[in-house]
Amino acid sequence: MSPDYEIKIPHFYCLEYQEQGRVMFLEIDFRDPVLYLDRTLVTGWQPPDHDLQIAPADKIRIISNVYDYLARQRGFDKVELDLS
Amino acid sequence: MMQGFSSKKLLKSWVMALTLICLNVLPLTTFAATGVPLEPAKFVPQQSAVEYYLELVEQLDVTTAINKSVFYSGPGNRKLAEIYAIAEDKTTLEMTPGGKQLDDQRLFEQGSPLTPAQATQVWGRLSQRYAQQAAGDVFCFVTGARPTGVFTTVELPELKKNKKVGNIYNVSRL
Repeated sequence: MSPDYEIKIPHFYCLEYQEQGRVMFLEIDFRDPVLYLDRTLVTGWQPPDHDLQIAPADKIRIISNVYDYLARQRGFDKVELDLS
Repeated sequence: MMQGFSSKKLLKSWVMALTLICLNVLPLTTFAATGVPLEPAKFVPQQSAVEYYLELVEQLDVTTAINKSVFYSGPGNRKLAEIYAIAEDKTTLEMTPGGKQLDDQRLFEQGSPLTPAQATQVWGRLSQRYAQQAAGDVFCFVTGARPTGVFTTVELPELKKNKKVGNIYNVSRL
C-alpha cells in the first residue's frame, strides 16, 4: 500500500511534505552529518492552508512519516527521532 | 565578414578545448563552472558519480565580496539568514552561483546519482570552500546550532583558520 503522503527534497536546506493536497516545508539542513527530527520542525502548512492548526498528534504523525521516509525508505543512516 | 571571422575563431577554440579534454589536459567540469550547459551526467558505478561531484565542487564559484558572507545553522536560522542577507546586500551559500548550481542538482532527492552520505560529503566540501573564501567580517545565525552540524564541524573551524576573516558575529544574538 502506498503511503498517503509524498516527500521531496527540493533543496539542501529543506524537505517538502505533502498530504491531502496540503504542502509544508520542514527546515532540515541536509549538509549536517546527523539529522535530528522532532515535532518543532512541523511549523505549519503553506498557503492557502496556513491558517489550519496542526494538532500535537498530527505533528508527531508527520514527523514520524518523515523519519520513516528518510531512515527506512531512502537510506539516510544517521537520523535521530525525538517524539517527546 | 566580421561575423564569419568570429564564428571561425569560436569553432577553433571549441576544437582546441575538445582536444584538451580528449588528452585529459582540461577537465570536463571546467565547462560546468563556466556556465556552459552540460549533458545530464550518467553514472554506472556509484564511485564515478561521487568522484564527478567532488571534482565539480572544486570548480564551483562560491566567492563573496569582503564583509558579505552569511552563515547559518540550527532550526529557524536559515530564513533569518536569508532575510538578513537580502536586506543587507550580503550572501548565503545558496545565493552564490556555485551554491545555486549544486542545489539545482537536487543531490538529496530520490533518483540522485549519489547516496545520502555521498551527497552530504559533497555539500560538506562546498561549505568548507565557502568558509575558506570568506573575507572581512562574517555574519552567522547559529543560535541553537548542534555540535554535530556542518557549521560547528566544518565552517566554523575553517573561519577560525582563515586569516582573511575579521570578526565572526553571531547575528542572532545582536
